[in-house]
Amino acid sequence: MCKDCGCSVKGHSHDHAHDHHHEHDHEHPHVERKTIALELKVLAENDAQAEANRDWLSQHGVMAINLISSPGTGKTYLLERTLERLRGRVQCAVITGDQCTDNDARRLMGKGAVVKQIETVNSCHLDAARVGALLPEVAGNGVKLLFIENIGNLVCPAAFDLGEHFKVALLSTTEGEDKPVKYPALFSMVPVVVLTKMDLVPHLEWSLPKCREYLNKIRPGVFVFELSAKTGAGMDAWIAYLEKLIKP
Amino acid sequence: MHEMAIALALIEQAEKVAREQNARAIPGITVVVGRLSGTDPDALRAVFELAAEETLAAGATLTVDMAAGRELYIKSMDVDVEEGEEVRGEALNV
Repeated sequence: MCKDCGCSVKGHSHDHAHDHHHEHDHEHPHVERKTIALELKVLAENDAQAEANRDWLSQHGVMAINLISSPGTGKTYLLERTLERLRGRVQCAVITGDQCTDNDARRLMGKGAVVKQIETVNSCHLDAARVGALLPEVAGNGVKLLFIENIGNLVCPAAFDLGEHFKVALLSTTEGEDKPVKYPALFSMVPVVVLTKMDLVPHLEWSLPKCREYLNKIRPGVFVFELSAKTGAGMDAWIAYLEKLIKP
Repeated sequence: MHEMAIALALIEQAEKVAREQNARAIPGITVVVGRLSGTDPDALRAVFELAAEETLAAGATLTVDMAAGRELYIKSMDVDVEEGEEVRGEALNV
């Protein structure tokens, strides 16, 4: 090896006059690039918090349902009528999410349930941490049934497990029959769908058989409620179903 | 549009692994995105760069592999690991 420059090329010379300053008293860190194979869930942290929420709910004897739909499907209206009917029979609580305002919480108050609003401001979905932080305050003290009213959105809320026991999708007749196939991420994962605003069907070009066909295509065997929270048609079956859920 | 939340969670997970490896940078990440995961690959790519700023993944290349189901996971990542070797001039003056 050449003693002047440290290279291994033989036969070259360093008979020129300038100084090379080859002192090298600094460190030469070797950086190695390596590829790590993983199978690491992106939302692992949310999923872990969701599991913790589910454990908390189960330990406190609370059944939790995550209600998801487009904005304007009638989640809050259905909840208003539902809380009124369950009042004095089933202790309920509601966590309701919106980007802004506590309008929904104010609508739902005074019906015998603990109600808490989450304003997500810039977020399009609720996440497990936000819900988990509210659980002791909202769902303690003998609550049997917790409704989590998600942000009105068919896409994002489907990706975030909140620790609920299951999700329920709402679909209103004014949205058209084919939402289930347009938004398969949500509709393919829910065991229960509630068709709302059934009282409007006479005024719409909306076909129940077609809607059910789409639902069954995307989620075979899905359990479907048809109701109008306004007229009360179909509400008995929905209320009976909820009461059955919390039976030990 | 929840891709920013996805991107931030993705970087958080990647940084956790990188720290375990004593890595000083994450030059590349490959994620698997299912068609039913509710995540749009283009939107994810668009926000990833911003989300990665001032993290170990700053400037990282994000590769998105599409899949059929609800998958959303980091399949692999490149890390730059500094080895503790010290190379000194004296050693070369053999």
